[in-house]
Amino acid sequence: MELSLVIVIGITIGSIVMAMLNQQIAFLRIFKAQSFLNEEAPVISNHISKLLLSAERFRLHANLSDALSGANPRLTDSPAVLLNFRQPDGTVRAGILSFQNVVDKDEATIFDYTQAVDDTKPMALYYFVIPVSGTLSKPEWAVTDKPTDIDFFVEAGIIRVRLTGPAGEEIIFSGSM
Amino acid sequence: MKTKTQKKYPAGYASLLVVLTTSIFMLTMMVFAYKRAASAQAVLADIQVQTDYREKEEAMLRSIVALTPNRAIKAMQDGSGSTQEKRDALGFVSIFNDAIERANARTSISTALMDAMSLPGSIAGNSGDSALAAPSRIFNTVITNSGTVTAGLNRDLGVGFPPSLNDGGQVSNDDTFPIISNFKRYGSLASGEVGLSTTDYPDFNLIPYPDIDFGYAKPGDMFLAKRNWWAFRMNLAEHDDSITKLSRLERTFVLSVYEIPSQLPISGSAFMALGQHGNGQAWDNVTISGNVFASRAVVEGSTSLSSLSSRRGFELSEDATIGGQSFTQNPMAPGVRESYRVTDGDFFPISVSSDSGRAAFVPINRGKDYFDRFSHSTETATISPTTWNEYSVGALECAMRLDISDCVSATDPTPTELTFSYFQGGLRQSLVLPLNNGAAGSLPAGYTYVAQENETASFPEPVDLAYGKNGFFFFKSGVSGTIRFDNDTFGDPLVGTLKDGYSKPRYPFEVKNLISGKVCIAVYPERFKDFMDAIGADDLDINHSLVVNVDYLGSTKLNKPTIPSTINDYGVILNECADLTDFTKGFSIVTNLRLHIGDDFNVTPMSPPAGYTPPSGTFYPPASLFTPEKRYGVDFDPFEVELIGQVGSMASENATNPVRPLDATAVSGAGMLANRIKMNLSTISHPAELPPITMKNWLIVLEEKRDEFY
Repeated sequence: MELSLVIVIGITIGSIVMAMLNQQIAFLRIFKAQSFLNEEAPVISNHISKLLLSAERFRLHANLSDALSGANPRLTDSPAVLLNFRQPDGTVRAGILSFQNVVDKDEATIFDYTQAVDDTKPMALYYFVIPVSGTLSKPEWAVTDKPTDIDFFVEAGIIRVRLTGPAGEEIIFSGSM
Repeated sequence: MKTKTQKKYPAGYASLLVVLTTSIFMLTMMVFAYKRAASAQAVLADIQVQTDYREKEEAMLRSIVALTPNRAIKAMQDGSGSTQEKRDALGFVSIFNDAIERANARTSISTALMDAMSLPGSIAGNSGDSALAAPSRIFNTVITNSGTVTAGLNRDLGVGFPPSLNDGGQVSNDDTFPIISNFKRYGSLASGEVGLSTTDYPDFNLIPYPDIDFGYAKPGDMFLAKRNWWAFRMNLAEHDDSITKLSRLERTFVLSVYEIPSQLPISGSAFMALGQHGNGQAWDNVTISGNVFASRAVVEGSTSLSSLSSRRGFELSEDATIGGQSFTQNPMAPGVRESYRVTDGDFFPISVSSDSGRAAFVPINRGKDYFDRFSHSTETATISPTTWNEYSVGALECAMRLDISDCVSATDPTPTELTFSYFQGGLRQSLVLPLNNGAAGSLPAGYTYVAQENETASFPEPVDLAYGKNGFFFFKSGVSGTIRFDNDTFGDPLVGTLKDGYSKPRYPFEVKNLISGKVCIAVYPERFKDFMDAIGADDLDINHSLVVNVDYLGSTKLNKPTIPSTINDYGVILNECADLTDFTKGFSIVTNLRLHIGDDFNVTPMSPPAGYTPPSGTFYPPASLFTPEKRYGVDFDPFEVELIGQVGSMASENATNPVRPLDATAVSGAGMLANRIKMNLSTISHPAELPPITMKNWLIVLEEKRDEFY
């Protein structure tokens, strides 16, 4: 009788311990799965918002090359957005946020922005400053390489950005223009 | 033999081991989980504070834009610099302090809101909340200089900053106060940086219109303006970085006040109806080239405008087109502008000033006070060397002043005295002109000796003559040909004394009645040259503008003119005004009386200034007329009115009924038909086309000088 009781209690305790262990592992999995939304996305949003809110105008394009040349502007999902910044000296300078293939860190000073984007290769969000010469060089900043997809789009005059994380999670930020 | 079993481990050690191991393992996992959660919370907290700072900074910047023009105006007003307390309230320190307050930057939830939520005494968890007691830790000068900001005056800040102004040593406190002054002008520092010679055009020059959505002009297009600016650096996080452990980049900003003379085909801070006359007829014979600005506007009929800008909004008829576009939906609806830009280009032809976040448009409209010198008292002890009335009241800006200074009686308004003042050697001189034709106390200025009694003289051009001696004179006006100075011609002003004859060019003004009996002052601009030469006045490039007022403060017999004018009010008649080429810098007239245009006005061309080719190929002296009411014709209604230039209005933007800027009323009071009104309105594109007196507007813009571009 006593032995039976001990065995039952032992099994119960063991089950509880296993359940708790499983729960802790589940927590860790959740934390890991949500780390993009919790930790990476807010930082990305913060950087993008700074740029979008500082810009006087924006224009969406299908790729970096179009954004640079001004070709084919559109309002639908776009990986590249050209931002115009009015400067006090009367000039209007521009920068481009572009989600595209990772730029080789060892690349020389000139970045080949005409090359087609290959979705099968690693992607990252870069900020390019367009120099007065109009010829792009290396990105000014690498904002993030964590998202698997980034799309800028306009709804009711408001520019929005949709970030897709490694686990397929999505988050949308809005910035009034 | 008794044996004793030796226990190697105490009883239950296995259970203890299992419990300990499990506990440590689970504790480790919990710590790890909490660490991840804490890490995520820390990221979100940092981002929240960053977002909080960013939003506060934006709100502060917008508040600075709103506050600056108000303080700049007050710094020009009477007594603004009389006490330290008053001065402190108008400086940039005060502007920054108030911007922090208006932005609600010191607390995310107000005490009142806390109380309303039944949370008195609660402590906000927002680490960005701070007393922000030392704005000097937030705002800094761009270079090392005294004052609160670095003004674009008498110094060149180099690449990325606008061309600076010079002040000739007249403005001493622009780093501390937002000073707007006529002494701040384009000079050596802006030479080569603006569109035209700063020597020839120091006041308003050609500069690029800022890239803002408010379309007074197209972004990037050259327009006429003078740009006052002040640079400062800002970092809101620096104030409390020891607490928040958060750093932000210090950013450089340039706050600009563009002084913009009215230059559009149609402009005015009024409620305007565009497209139709008051009788319902459309603007059939009207050509408008350029933007139209109105504080409020209603566009009627099938009117076509190239662009329309507004402060308070507008209504468009279904058939109206703006920029070639017919807007079937509200053009201000979210997304319309963005869609237009994708398909039709960057410049959206309809805008209101609130479209741009860090920009404000302030028309300088003094209303009825603009026309009347006597409705203003002298301003002293101002912070700005240019007083507000000097700056904004057209009547005070005029070089020449003509006042009705006395009349027969309170019931008989016939003028008996005019007072004319002008510049001579840069100093203001006055000439009191009694209007009685009998024996005068002394000979008015301007007369020169011609002949003795009974002698003759020839006058190929009409002149005014005086005949008499010892303060007793008889006069004749507008006489030409051979004149004999004798009692038969003039009458005998002093019996028994040998008299003399004098002449002077005719007065360029006189008392003249309309057929209706309305008493008027007739002004003859073509006569000014000879008259001013005769009295030794400065040239007409100095004495280039005339204000006609009633000195109701100096004589109890005179009444302040009413607007709209009644039959008992004086009027002004403009005659002999076809040729204004003597006014080499242009001619302006300002009056608070009804203005009757009796002749062709400014239809004689002249050579344009060197380096300027007018778009039409013909250059006329720039001229402007400012009056609360205008009538066409003096002796009879004109057949037709044709106008080339610009039209404005100073009516109220809050009026119930809109003003119709292109309506024309004849001297009889009848409105003219649309087919008798021809107007060709265009934008002033060169400072040589600016008349001496213009309306002004301020455009306040705050721009960031982004470090990554320099």
